Amino acid sequence: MADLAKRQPTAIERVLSEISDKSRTRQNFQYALYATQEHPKLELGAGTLAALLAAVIGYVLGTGGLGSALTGLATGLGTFFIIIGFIFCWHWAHAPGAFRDYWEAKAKEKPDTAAETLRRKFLAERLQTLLEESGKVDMLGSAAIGTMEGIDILMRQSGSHTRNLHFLQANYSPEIVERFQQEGTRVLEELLAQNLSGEETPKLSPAPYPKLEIEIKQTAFDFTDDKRIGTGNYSAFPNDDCYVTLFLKINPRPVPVAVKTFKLTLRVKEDEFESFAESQVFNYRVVELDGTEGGGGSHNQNLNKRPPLLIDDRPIQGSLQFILRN
Amino acid sequence: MKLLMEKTDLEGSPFTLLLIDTDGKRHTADGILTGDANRYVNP
Repeated sequence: MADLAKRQPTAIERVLSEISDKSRTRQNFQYALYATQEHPKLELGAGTLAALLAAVIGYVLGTGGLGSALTGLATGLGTFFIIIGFIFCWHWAHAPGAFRDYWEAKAKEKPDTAAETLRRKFLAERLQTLLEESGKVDMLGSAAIGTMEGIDILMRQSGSHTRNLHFLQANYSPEIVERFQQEGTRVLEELLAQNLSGEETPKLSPAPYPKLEIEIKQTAFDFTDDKRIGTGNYSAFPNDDCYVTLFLKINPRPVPVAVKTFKLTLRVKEDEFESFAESQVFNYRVVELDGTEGGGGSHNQNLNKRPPLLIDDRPIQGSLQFILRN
Repeated sequence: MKLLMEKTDLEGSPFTLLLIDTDGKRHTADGILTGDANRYVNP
């Protein structure tokens, strides 16, 4: 049963497996040779028949002598070899290799230019229409909330955006759709420019990773008041730690992102200090007599909270505090 | 390493704030340390 279930190799596979030389040209030649020899009766029968027929025709139509018969026989033999040559070439051309690959590659190199031109024209027209429409609704400006005019403007802007989105989803890659959602109609402009410049397949440069725009609005620094060593907090007490407080504004971006790590690198003269944000932001920091760390005036807009800070389509303001330890 | 420095040493020191998001992407902002806490007014 196992032998029955096993697939029998095809004639081509059998011939190819017998060919030791795997170079493509020689493989095709040997395949054609094998394939031609597979039906010797056909060639021999056709060749013999053609030779005899030519000899008879030559004898009848010629002078009737031996010369005419030999001429006819030579013509027949010539025909015989021509037939064999034709069969050989036919098999070579149909060998599973170079010829087929060659023509398939050629076919791929020559796309249907007419269809491509039509498609490019269609895309260009649609892009122009969508851009014109987007420009008109953008010029309407902001809607006055609560008025009928405002509702109408909002609906037209939303409809324009949806049409743009559907067009891109139907005709372009998901990467381009994502870029449109981030960058808006600028992507349409870019696609139209590429289309008109004659590029066959619109390719946009990879979208730069949308960086967060971090605005540091204010900074503050001081030394931790270590009550174990006195009340001072200056360089007379070099064991004191310095803490830095930053007040930030992080601008929104279209794609939400969660921030999980805040790290500060401070360069003072020749030295460099690194620190990760504290879980609490104090107006002042102290170390109690028992060694516990704390402070006063806790800031309620600490950005380093759990779960990680999520930044989406609204700006976020808050503070971070870093301790630069000895 | 000890922070053997005065406040005047810290004033004007450059720093870099690094934010790492959950995708592992890094966002940075540079700044200059100005204003000690004694002069800070909570916004």
